[in-house]
Amino acid sequence: MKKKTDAKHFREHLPLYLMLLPGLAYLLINNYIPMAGIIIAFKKLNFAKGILGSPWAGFENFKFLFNSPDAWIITRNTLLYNVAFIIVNMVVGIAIAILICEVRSTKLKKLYQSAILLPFLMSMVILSYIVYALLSSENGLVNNSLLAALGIEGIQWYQEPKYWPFILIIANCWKGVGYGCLIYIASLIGIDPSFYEAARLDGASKWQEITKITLPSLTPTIITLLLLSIGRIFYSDFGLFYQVPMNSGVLFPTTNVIDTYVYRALIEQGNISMSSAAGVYQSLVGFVIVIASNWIVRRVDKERALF
Amino acid sequence: MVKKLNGKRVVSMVIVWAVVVILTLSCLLPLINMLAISLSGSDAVAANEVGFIPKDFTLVTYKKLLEDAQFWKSFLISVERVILGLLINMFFTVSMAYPLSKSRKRFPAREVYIKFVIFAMLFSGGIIPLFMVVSNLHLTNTIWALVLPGAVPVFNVILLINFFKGVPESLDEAARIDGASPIEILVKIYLPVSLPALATVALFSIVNHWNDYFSGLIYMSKSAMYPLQTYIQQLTVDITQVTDAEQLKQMASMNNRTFNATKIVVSTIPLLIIYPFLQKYFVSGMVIGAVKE
Repeated sequence: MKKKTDAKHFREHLPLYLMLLPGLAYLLINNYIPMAGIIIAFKKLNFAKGILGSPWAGFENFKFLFNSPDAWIITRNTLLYNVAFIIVNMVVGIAIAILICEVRSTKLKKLYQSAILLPFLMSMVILSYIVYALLSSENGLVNNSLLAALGIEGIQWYQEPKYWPFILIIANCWKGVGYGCLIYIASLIGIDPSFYEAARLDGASKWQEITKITLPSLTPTIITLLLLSIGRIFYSDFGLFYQVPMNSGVLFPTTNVIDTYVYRALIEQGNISMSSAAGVYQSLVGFVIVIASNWIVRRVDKERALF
Repeated sequence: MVKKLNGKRVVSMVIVWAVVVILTLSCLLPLINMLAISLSGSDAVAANEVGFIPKDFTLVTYKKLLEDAQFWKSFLISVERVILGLLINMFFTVSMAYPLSKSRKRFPAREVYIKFVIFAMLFSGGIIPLFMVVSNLHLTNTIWALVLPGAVPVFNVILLINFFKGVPESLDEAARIDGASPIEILVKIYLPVSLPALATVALFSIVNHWNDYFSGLIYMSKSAMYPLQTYIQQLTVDITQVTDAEQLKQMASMNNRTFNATKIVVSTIPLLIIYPFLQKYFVSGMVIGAVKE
């Protein structure tokens, strides 16, 4: 009897299956087959023999990677930058959203929203040009206008690793904050205005309104965006860390992240084993982090888990 | 209702305005600076005299750009890529999101497939195996290398699934009783009410394809096949590889700032043209995307 209904169901759902088929086939070829490629990281690659023919190396490649000082630096940089990006973009995004909502005129509100989202449309290549226009020692605006006016001697920005955490955090915020900001604005608009009226009647200050009404109402949105970014915490935007510092070798201590390391090992050093070992390290740890954070959220509040 | 304006409120309003205006300007000024440089004489630019207003106004770099064959070739490759990529992205996004948005009752296998899709997003084999797949399929140095590796944007699929889920079940139910096929229901009911989500997904797709330079870098070995952003990226690369001060000075003077600024300005124009058309849907579409799967 079960079988009969199954067949009937299947006929009824056939169009749905057919619709899904091309996409699933595509994912199989483009995403799942390359996953088998992680074996490269466990091989001592020999091009003459091909991947499958190459001898196994066990964990040799990983041992080599984790014995190099790079492994620690790229892990530290990737994690610290992402934590900083998450915090800064969230605080700035919420602050701007609250400020824009204070503006009464709808036309101006629209204008500000559009302006703030504009950097989001720019490519990393263009961001790197803009940063270069600001910081280059020859013609940069900062050295030649700002610091010169203050009587401070110009700084060789592209030679000084210590400034880059700040530069990259600001650049990332400039480019990305508009996106989160728009989502926060949309949630803010949804807050019942009678809350604020009641608070005002009770003589609440602006600050109290923000901390007691606005922020608690934003919590679901904050958690969702937070989860999405924690899921990517082991990954970085390649362009931001490669292109914006102009691939300057002196800056590697503060600009090298896993993504740039994988690329450089592959393209600049031709070291496929090392590159794929770092890639597998990233995939595995990144995956574990997503699953773990989702598991924790699921335990706290099932509704908010991502999957 | 007239609000009583006490001193404290006025001060806070002024602060709000000042901050918002400064923030808005900080988003616009770097771009205005690029525009000003592109319209200025190269001597004024070299002397660092150009801020936000062009000096010695000239269109000479724009004329020069019109004759730059490689720029326009890359420009056309990018246009072709955006059109092809957008069509392919939209096809896959819609055709996957619709079945997966059905409830478990209507589509029992849903849970398995949605796990299959999400896992593909969360775990990847890395760029080396993907590169090998692309090159084994003989796609390198063709437009398909730029379009196919990102053909199913899983994040967009999830965004659209969430939007489709919000469509009232009763609409779907009524159409099925009238004998409409799933395809008809999708085209006549779901797509028209999902315009905000579709516009958002389309904008993401256009921006991604237009701005991406990385796939051009790894899949194209011939610079003639570079998409626009890869072409522009190549103009700056290596500037800081040179550490010798003397050489650096030489390169800086050779590095044609007004001409590069012109290329940047022209390369952003297409997005600036498209953005206002999609913007009105964008906000509502994006908010849905932030809601969990």
